[in-house]
Amino acid sequence: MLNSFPAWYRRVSTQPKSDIVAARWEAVKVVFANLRSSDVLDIVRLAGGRLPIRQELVENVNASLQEKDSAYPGGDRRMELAVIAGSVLALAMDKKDSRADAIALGLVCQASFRKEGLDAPPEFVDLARQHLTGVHQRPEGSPLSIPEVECPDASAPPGLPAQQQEFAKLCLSVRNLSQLLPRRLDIVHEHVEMLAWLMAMHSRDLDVPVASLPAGVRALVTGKELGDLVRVVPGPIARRGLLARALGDSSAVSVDMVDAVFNAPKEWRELFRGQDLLDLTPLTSCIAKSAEAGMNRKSLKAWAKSALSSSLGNTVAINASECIYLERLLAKASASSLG
Amino acid sequence: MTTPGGVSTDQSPATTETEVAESGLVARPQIQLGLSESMGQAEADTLLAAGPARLIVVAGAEECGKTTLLAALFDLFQVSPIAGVRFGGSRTLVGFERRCHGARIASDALRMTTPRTPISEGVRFLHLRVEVNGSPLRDLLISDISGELFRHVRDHASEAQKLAVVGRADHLAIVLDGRSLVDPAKRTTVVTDARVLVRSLVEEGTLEAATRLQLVVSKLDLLMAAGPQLEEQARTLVRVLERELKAMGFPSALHFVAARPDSPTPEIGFGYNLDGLLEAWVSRSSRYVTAPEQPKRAAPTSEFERLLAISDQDV
Repeated sequence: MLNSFPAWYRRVSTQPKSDIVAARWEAVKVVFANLRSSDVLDIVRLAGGRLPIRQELVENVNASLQEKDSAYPGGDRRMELAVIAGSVLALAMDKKDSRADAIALGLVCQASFRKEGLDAPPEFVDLARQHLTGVHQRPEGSPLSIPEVECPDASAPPGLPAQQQEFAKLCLSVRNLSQLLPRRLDIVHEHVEMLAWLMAMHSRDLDVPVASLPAGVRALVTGKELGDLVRVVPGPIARRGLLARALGDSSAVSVDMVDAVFNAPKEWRELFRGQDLLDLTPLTSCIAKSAEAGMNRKSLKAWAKSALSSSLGNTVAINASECIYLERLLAKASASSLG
Repeated sequence: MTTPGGVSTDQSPATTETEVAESGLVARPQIQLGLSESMGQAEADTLLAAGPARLIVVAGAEECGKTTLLAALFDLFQVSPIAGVRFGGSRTLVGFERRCHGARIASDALRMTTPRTPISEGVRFLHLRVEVNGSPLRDLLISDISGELFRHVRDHASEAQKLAVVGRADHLAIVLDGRSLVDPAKRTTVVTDARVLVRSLVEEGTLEAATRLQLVVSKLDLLMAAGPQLEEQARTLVRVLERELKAMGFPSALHFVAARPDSPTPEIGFGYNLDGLLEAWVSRSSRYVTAPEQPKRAAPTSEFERLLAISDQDV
């Protein structure tokens, strides 16, 4: 059991009994074991106190809970489901599951611009942030280091079995290297591209100097363009530093998100169509929606509130920039690791 | 069943925003009424499991005014919203009514009274559903626990497990009896008891840092009636307690209230300052706040990471 689970579960019980906590954890393990990639984002929604798009998922989670505790009442116990779903995701991140980056991005993106009143357990968002800042990632060491090929032992005794063993070790070492090298090269490529972009500070999408854009638009454009340059999700740990450099003096400026969206050229906003994951990428969804005919500031705000349970208000430019950046990464991670 | 006034008398969930939006009606939250006396832990757990709810534990000695505070809050809601907070229903209406009855003309009592909460009831909760400035309805579970139980915990730290519910509390409101605070023979005991209670709860691991503390001085009318010198001494004692709790890692907010003054005046009327307390209870709980600061990051492994991670700190 993850050490924090009893504390997480405390949210939904005034005085939880240890056998109930143990049964709930067993259910968490079952849900994790059966977690299909296509359900990951819906589990993220559940962890955020929302209903999943695939509604049967609630029944599946309830069935797992009832399997481990026949007295579990089931039904729409939204907060308890949020804790269970969040714990499943925490377990996936803890186990360095191949989908952990997408999970972390989903949890962080979903938490931005949340409408007041939709309280959800925040511990999982904190865990996701830790994951994205590199505390739990990069088990293989520096992204730029190349491991040495394990050479055959020259002093190995003659004879076929010993030689075969040495050859097998060499093959394994070369295979690992061949898998690692493209990733390493991608990271180097990504760093070079980002540095060149940072030096030029010329918008790739709009073909104008970034400095010529109003603060709000600059925040959106830099976040999107830096996200586009990421080749290996979840990108460099210094993302806020990169964005701060890109935004310059305007990084700490407060921007009205709706104004920022509508001040951006419509052709640019149209690039976001079909790129959103609805409520998990509130900013991307709003930008895409704003490009639709007949949308104005008021109707966009109302739509965000009703369809996304999001409240688009004022925020600091760098936070808006980071938000759109992470949403781009979530879309990439979703396409690559969630199918 | 729904009355023309929008009052629902059954226990079914209120109409959801989606349903309202689909029906084309103007969103207007239904008021839920309930007929329970109070809620036990199982019912409270069901409510906590269903959605976001605030759990408030009101602590204090016998007859310090804990129950009166809750009754007055309920009575205030009968008149108008309190500090932008509207009454949205309750599953324990009967319990509230019973606690309010002694203060009503219908009781034929000569003076306003509040029934004492017996220790045999253990940990019970009253429920309020409220709407805060137009946001979705929110549940408040407010404990009604006998002062005797708090005395037991204070006297024997090992008894703190009986108050394990404090470990889930979003708010712990410690009520200090204003009448005793201006009594030179009792005032030190009042403050010491509060300090010992918090210490017992902390030592037994029952009180967590995520719980917000409020020091609620009740019966402000009696405190002020004792004269400026005694009042000032009482306020000083409370401020010292506040500093001590802060030093223990539990910063608290001070509230001077008069839930049901014996002789209301234009300055101190019925439910005086309860709005501030309610506002604190419905505000965003520290249990539902994500860490605003950037979490600890891995050590940079290249100049690319190092330079930009350092510049990040300037933002």
